[in-house]
Amino acid sequence: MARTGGFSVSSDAREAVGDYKAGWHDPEQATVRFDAGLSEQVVRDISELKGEPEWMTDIRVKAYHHFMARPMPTWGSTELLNSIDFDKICYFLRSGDGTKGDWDEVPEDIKNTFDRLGIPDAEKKWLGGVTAQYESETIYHSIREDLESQGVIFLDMDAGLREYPEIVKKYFCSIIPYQDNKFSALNTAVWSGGSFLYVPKGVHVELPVQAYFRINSENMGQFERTLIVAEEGSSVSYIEGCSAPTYSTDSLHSAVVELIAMPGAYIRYTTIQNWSNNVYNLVTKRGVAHENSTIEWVDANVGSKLTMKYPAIILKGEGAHGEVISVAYAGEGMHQDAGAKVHHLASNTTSKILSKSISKDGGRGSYRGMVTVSKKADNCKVNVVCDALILDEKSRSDTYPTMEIKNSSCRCEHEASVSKVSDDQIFYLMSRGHSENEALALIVNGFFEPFVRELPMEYAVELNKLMALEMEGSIG
Amino acid sequence: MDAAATYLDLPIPDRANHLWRYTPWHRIHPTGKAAYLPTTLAPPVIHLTMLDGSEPPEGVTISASEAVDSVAPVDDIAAAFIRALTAGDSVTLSVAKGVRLKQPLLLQVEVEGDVCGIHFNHDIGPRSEVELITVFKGNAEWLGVLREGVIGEGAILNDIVVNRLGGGMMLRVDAIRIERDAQVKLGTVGAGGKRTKADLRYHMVGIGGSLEVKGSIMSEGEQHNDSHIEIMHDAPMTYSRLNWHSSCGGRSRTIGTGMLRIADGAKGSDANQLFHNLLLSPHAEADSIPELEVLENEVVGCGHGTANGPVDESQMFYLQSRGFSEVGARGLLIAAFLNSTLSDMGSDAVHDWLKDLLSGGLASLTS
Repeated sequence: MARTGGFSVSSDAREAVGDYKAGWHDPEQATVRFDAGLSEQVVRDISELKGEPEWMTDIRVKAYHHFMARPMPTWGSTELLNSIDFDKICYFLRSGDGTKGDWDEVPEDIKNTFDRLGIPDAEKKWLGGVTAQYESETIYHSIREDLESQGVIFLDMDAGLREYPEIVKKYFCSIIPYQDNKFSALNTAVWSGGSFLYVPKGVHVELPVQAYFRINSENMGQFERTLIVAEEGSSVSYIEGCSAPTYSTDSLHSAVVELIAMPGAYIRYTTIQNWSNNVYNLVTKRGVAHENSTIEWVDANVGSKLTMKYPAIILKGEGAHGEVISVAYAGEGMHQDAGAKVHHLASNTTSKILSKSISKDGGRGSYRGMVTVSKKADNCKVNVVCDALILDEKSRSDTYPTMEIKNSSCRCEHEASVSKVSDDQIFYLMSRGHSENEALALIVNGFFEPFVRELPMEYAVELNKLMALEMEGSIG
Repeated sequence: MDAAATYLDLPIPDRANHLWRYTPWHRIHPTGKAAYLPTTLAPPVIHLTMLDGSEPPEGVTISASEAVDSVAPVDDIAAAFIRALTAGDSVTLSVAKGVRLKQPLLLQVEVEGDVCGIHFNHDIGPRSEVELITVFKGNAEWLGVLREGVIGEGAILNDIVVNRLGGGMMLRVDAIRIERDAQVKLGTVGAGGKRTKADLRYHMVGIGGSLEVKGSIMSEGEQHNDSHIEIMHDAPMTYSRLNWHSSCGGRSRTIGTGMLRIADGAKGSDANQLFHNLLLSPHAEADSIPELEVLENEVVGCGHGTANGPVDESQMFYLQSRGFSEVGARGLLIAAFLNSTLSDMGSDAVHDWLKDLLSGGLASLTS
């Protein structure tokens, strides 16, 4: 068994899918599959199938009409965006017969998939709770009893809406309205699955909770919706992982994640995205941080055909802090258009953005970011650092940062650099006995080190291994 | 298609394009109506002398000319508009091959009236050495300046543009081609006009070219200064530095957007851009978008940075502890901030001349 990306993959599966290590697929076993294409009826059918309250159906329908009316963005990778054929995508596919709380009850094929990805092992060792989503819906969910007894709610989003409709109604679309952008409208119209995490006042969730999202079928659209609310003085760390099989046709992943950190709360949201390079990954993530709270996005983008993802933080309360640490690897056929947004609305707020990217084999890594400081936000501090490595002549790297400063007391710094791996560094490491590939892998791991040290140790070790595998054959 | 038809045929640029994000086309158009093309122009008064007022020497000429080869893209709406205004006519400033000037050239452009448009074509000959100061002054309501040109092989040029307009608007478009081994310094001093939109594009097309772009912008009152600087490294072994300092007082807004592009094949390029904004008033605003597009991995280095902040309190404290008044200390620090780019723009003679010219404007920022 080779271990990659935090998950175990059998060697025969690796051979079947080439370089991408999670690219195998299982035979589709849908119990409900909608025909490809989107219409108001599809949206209503999804809502009806889930037995949702009327207000949710109404939001879905409004979002659908907004999605249809809204033009495609005219920035970013417009060529790839315009090549998405929304009529070929399946907007809802249910495998199995509902969410299980016992791993043994999960259908065999799906269980095998997640076994291969190493999910149950990880849960036993170091997670506070797990949600596993397969296609459109969650197939497995669990939470440690001690957390449950403290009032922590960790459910899939559909169950969250059923069991806690008043909380969901209060916060749903409150941070990311469906009018925000074309893809948030699409997600709001057809969302299914995702996580609902509520941490009561003063509760500290010591172990991270994890969700794993897997697309298995061809031409599939996955539109999970995640809502995390950390009440006053609480803290939680959430990790999500993503993968999909390698197909010749494209799939679409368009999630929406909303975070609410109440005064003094702390939320860390970690993403390890390892989609195959036939997946469009168009995600909207945003958190609002109240007084003296902290939101951190830790974001790794290692796969996909096109990723457009800019985790955002609204620093709404005085003394709030936001941090975005991201790495992107753009290999062959990949365009990683990722970045971060921080909006300072209150005084004495601070933010830090660290972005690292590597482009290789014709890949394109782009940082696109925005920092705004409002007129009433006194004494804010902003630090943005973007570093990029280009490993060969076919690849490219771009940086598009925007800074809008409306308050004269703000201290805002931004720096970016693009470089290649220097011959001196390679030479030095080879003189110490490393092969060229080992030397390159060491340098790349060092480049990613500020990100990797923020990960739980198990993830850090596996990410280093994954990057070493990606670097194989980079020289010579 | 004539120049007017070319302009009218162009689509209005999208604000998703950073060049037009903060000052959309209708806000810098003389009437705000993009489809309107003024037909009556106020003629500019142009004087070319040496800095001491003497006549330019042999080898330096300025003359009216008809259509010249375009360096600016034909689909650039600002350049197309100025071409349409000037009906394809231009003023060519020519410096012959090998001419070395002992003192700076002073090109003074005085503009009055409602709408004024000028199309300059700078033809700087190979291996010439020139310092050129261009000053725009007067009370025209609207001025459009298109500066196109070629800096010949091995030429050394210090090119400084000073905006001393009254309360009018200025649209400036530069499209300059830099040939092999040319060494170019381009300075912009902004101190006038209520609204300025500058779109400055420099194409490094020859191996070994060197370019330093400096900006020293003083904004006050209700001024709106939007500068977009693009530097294209199209050839190998090219070097560029951009250093743009803006001080923002009153209710002014300064915008600095930049694009540094290293083309595929421009090996050994070395490029860097910096935007610094000094915020002097609670109502001032500074926006920056320094962009990088790197399509070549064999680069010496490529980076950018921005910094925004108020006058440093510890520096203020130090100067006051040495006997300066609060206003005096503040004035000294602002002057030093603007001077750090101004002093690199040309020779000592040029620097002294600029300092005297700008000393009045500085006083209004310190209080």
